[in-house]
Amino acid sequence: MKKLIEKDLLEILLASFIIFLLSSIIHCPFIEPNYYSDIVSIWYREEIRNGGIPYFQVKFEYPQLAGLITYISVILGKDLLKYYLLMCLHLLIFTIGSVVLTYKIIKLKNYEMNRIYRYFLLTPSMLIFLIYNYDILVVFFILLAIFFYFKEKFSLVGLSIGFGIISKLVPIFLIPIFLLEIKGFRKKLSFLIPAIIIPFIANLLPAIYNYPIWFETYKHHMEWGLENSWLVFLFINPSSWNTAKLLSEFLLIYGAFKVYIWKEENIIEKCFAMLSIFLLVNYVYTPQMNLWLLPFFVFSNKDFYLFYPFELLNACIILFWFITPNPTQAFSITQYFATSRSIILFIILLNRISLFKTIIKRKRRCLFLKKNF
Amino acid sequence: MFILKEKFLKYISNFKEYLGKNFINQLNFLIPITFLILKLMIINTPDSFIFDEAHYIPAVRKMLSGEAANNEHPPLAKALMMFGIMLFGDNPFGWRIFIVILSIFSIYLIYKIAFELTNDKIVSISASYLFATDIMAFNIGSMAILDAPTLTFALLGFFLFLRKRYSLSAIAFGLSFLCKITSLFIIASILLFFFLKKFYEKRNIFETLNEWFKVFERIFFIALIISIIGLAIYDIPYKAFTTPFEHIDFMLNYHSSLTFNKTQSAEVVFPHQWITVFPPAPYYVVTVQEKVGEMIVREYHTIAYYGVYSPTWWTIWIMFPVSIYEMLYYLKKRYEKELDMPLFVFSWILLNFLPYIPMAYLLHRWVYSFYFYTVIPALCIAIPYYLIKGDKSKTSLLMLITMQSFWFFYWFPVKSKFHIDLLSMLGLSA
Repeated sequence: MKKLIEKDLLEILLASFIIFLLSSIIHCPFIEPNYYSDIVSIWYREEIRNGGIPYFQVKFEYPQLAGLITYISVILGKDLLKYYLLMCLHLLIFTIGSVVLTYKIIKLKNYEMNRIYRYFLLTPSMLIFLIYNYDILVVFFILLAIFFYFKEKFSLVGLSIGFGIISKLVPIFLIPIFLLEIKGFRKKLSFLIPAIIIPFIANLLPAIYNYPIWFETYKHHMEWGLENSWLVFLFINPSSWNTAKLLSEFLLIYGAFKVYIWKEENIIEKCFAMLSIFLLVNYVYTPQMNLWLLPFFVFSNKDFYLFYPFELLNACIILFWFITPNPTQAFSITQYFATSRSIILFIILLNRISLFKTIIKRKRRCLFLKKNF
Repeated sequence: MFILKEKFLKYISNFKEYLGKNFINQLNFLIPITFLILKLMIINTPDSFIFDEAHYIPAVRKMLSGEAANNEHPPLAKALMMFGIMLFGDNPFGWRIFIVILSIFSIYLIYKIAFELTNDKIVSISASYLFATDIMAFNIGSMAILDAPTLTFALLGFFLFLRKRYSLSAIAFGLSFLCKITSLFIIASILLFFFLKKFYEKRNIFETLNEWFKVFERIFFIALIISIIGLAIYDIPYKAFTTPFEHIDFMLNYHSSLTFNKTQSAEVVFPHQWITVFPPAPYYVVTVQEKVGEMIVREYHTIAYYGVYSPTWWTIWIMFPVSIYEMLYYLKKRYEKELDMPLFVFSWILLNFLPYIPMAYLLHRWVYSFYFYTVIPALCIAIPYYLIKGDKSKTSLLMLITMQSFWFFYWFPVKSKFHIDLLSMLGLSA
């Protein structure tokens, strides 16, 4: 009889649960000292705590699924402790889901299983940023999309991307990647329709009900300044940040097109490249966003030695954030950490792209040899 | 004596033969040289500021004294004026000489570009002549303002681009940006031209983008580096901005803030007027009145720098639709031999003229008729090309050139007594 749950998966789940527990302890508002968490700070917003419905009645800067989870936790929790525990429970579901999906993709593509510990579970980002923001939601949906892509269930890929978009906006940039990789018009359509319809409906309802409040979600991001972006060293004066954002948007479009026309057929590599480019050129690269990339370090057969300083610098940003007088300003210690982190990510990205070029060349050479000899 | 005469006659006939064979080649140099002489003859007139020289020369004087000035524009064109002053003194010759030389170089570059695009010497020479005699181009290239060097560097970049010397081309584009930020429109149009050209070759959007990105990256990053270095050379010693990027931000903000309100809208010469009819803008006009007693018997302008259109500007109404029609036609017919011209005309006009329409009508940004200056090269190249294509006898081209020459003669900015008398004899006001 086949085991209900495999031993290595059980070990992985146990490790992830411990990490999750540690993360929830360090951010728990009832334990002193505790580390700042966006999730806890949201509770202290009076309009949210009083049960205001995000996007309909109160401004909420995160997309709709994040708002829904928060609203449910507030309504059912009623006080901070229960709210916090409910939020943890929600995030735990997505954490476990992400871990299981990573495990399944490893099995499917024959990657080394140990990498899940080194590059995903036992990393500073997991410890610090699991109970911090809604990033694990988007990690889960991106992994789900990739998993369904490998299983060739394209409408489910679209569904996952659609839900990903209403968790964090970034999967929008993955739509063209999947669209170009999926062959056949009908399959493309079965992917595209749910990927567009879910965010459309999720936005349409609050937009019709209360347009100004709904629009605040997006306005908030448009008006946000530079945060942990290397651009701050070029645009030192905050009054010049609008141009910095323009440059950021230009670079993002350029980078996205580069990925879309990349003659690489590996969806994992393309998604990694797109997310990395987004983080590298976007005017906001908050440290919790590093979670998005972690599973992609698992899905490789190469060791990334720069991964450790990359992660360490990322953790340092938040560890030094609250003891730095002006942490968003150029030449502050946090911005040095952030820019160093971006430089390392850029090197990793270049390294990984060239690595894949070499693999493709090798494969082609092998094919050529097989054909001719 | 007889031998000498024979030798002389042989020499003459050889020279005639040489000229016959190479006349067009000589014109290629003769036109710019003639117009250089023409411009040098009037360079000192007037000895006070024409049009926007009133902004730039005082700014250059400040820069010479070590003070940052006129930061809303990049510094290269002003640096050229500064060198002129340093070499020849703070006088009209010093202010204008480098701008004049660069504007003359534009005439030569238009010949080269037209030849690259059409491989036809008659078209190229005609294009060069039409540009030289365009009164707006002539006036803009005779005064110490930023537009002439901007266009020259952009045309140089385009010529090098057509020759596939992409890195050098990017350097020229960087220099053009360092003269005036409107060069971005020209650079964008050239990149669009290349994109369309590649698309017609490949007929596949991904292959096109792949090819296009390779060139785009070289152009963009090299031009950016040149621009940043150029701005830093100005910003650091003059302590104008902390970083060159902040300077770019300042320029963009400044220019987007130049808007007009409802009451001012009557003063604006809108883009649709540029290609129809608009009242000539007096940049510098000296009126002379001849009196008999108290009665004015004759009034004329010895100096009349006007911002005025040439009749060739109206051809945009034909050239732009024709270029679109040809593009669509070739798309269907898969005929790529004569594709460069419609693609060039379409891209150039689309991105150098059309952006001013939403800028003026929607954003209420101040626009001026001399902004059409950057569109002129496309028309000057397209007109002879299409005229010769449709009429092998070249009669229509000759007629147009004659008309343009006469228009130029009429609006020539500094008039001699003979010039004025001649115009009066023809019953025209001078």
